[in-house]
Amino acid sequence: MSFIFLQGVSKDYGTAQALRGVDCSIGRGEWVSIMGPSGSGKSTLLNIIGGLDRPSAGTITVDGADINAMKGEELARFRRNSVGFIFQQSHLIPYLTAAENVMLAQYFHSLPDRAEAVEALAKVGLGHRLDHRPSQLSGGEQQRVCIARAMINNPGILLADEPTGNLDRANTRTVLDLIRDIHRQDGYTIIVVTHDPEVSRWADRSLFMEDGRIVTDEPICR
Amino acid sequence: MSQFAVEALFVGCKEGLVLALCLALITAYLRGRGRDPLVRTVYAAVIAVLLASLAVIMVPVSVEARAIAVKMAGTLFGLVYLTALAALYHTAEPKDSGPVAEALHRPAVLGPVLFLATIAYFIPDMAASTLYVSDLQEMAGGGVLVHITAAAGFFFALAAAYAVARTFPLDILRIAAFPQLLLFLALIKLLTGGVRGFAEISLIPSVQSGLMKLVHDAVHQLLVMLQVPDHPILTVSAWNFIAVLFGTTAGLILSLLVFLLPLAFFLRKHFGSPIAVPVGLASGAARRAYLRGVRDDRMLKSLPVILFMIVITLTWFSQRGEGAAQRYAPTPVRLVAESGSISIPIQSPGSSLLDGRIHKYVVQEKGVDIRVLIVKKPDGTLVAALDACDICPPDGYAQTTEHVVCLYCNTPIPVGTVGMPGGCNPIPVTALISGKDVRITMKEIAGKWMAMMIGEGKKGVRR
Repeated sequence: MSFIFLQGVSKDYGTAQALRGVDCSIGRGEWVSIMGPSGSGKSTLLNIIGGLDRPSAGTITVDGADINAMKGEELARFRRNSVGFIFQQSHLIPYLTAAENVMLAQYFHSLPDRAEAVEALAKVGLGHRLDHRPSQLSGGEQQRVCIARAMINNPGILLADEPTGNLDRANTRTVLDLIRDIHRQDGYTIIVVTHDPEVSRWADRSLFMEDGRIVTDEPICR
Repeated sequence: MSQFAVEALFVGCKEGLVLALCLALITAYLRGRGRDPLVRTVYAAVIAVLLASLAVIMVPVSVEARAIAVKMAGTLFGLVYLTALAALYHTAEPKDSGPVAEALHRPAVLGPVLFLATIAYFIPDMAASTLYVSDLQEMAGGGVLVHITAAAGFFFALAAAYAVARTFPLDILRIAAFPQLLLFLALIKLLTGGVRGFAEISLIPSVQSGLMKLVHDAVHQLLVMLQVPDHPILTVSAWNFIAVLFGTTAGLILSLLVFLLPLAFFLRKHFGSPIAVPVGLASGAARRAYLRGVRDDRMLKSLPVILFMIVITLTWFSQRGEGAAQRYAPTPVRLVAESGSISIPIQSPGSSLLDGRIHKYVVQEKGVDIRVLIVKKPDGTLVAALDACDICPPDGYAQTTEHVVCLYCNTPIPVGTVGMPGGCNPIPVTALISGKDVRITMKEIAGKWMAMMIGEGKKGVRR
């Protein structure tokens, strides 16, 4: 049975149609990449799956729960407990240290626990940068803090929107290695939106979108 | 509509609201706990209470019975509070259930207990209100209008509250386990009586007086135990210092502590006890979520306790100073002895010895003023005593609601024990009480007054 299931999902912004009846099914523990030109609806689709946005029509179920039917607090709980987000921009709090940024995610989930945050940062190779603020970290390091922040609450689903868009080759490789580890070791379901075919190749399956529709849905052969 | 009918309407509304609020809390709790069948038991008890309250209208009720109804309200508040405390401590540190708890888990026992507890909780206030409405009806000159308006107010409030409860269902289990429910019920009893009503049921003054006497007796007993005659060695300054311990202020503070300390200890235990995380929680996030859940639950369940503490404290503040203000200390009426005795009429213009207040008289013997007090005891009999005790300097006594209080050392003496000899009690005197007057011989009072003045207890006291 599908872990994430979308049926007839549409999203209108006034007269503009960002999504046009998207049907899709993603299994538990699958790594899916979504590619397509700008404005094709990739980020909109990711936001709707993550409960950051609501569709104009259609159904989305995650692990059997209809997230479109969820009201405010219930939806917030879904995002808090079940989804980790990584964006192209790190969106770290500039006046908090790396450890505190991770602890902030813990705080909104349940309780802050520094020891656990330190362990998560050590896991992404930042054990020596705990008390550095984002401005004191490189782009790759900032993105690794984001990965630690996204994973700290053990959400089970990782949604990444252009996670390597601002990174050089070496840092891209580091970030993707980390995501692969999470996928393999912890069995996360991962959806990565990217323009980069190289990044897309790391996934199990690739969706290609155009004009708000999925036009191709193919497994990645390695 | 007459003013009596309007007042009856408000009385009915108040009782209806109280009943609805309590029922909403109790039934929401029972349903939340999956004990739906017990809801019917509660309703049955409420119907019994309503029928009993109606019966009060039909049968004549004595003044004593009314006084008992008022006293019961205070006693029941105390019982609910103590049961809540016991339950709080049980939940703060659950132990194996004892035989009582086990018995209460049996429906055959729990049902009747709940039935009786519900009746006991509601009936004093309901009966007292019904009696009050009957009084209003009498003052209105009879008829049924007053009773009808009271009933209309009652059922209107009940129906309105029911509609509100249906519209906004109560999730009481989030903030209340059983002890918190009891605290809510105690609070409702407290608040619907009004803070002044709380004073009327004499809860804080009673606790205060009891504590004052306890501390006073403890000081005396300690000195007795040490075989030290206390008054000869303790100057009035020392007594003034010691009296702080059992004075009005200390009594008030102690009475507040009696109410607050157990709850404060509960809160300390409630928040301070470590949280045992189940072994099965694999991830750190699950562990944190569990800890957060327990902490949130503790916080919510402490809210009723904190609310209770706030209300008790506010009530206490409203009581401050009342002890002194309520003291009644009449100026002694000067008498002249005739034929070797004094005679005090039981009824005289503007005064009656049967009014429940202390009456003081002074008579001179060989240039010494001798004071006598007379008071009606709760059993209705008159009793005479000197306005002095064997121990303290003869400053005399004042009266509060249920006590006479030594003006020297502030010791409260229950009015019921006036006439008994010894200790801090007023020195009893033999009096001849007829239907018309109280007659006391000068030989009796002068002898006892002189003995009191030269008593061991007075020697060391500088006056």
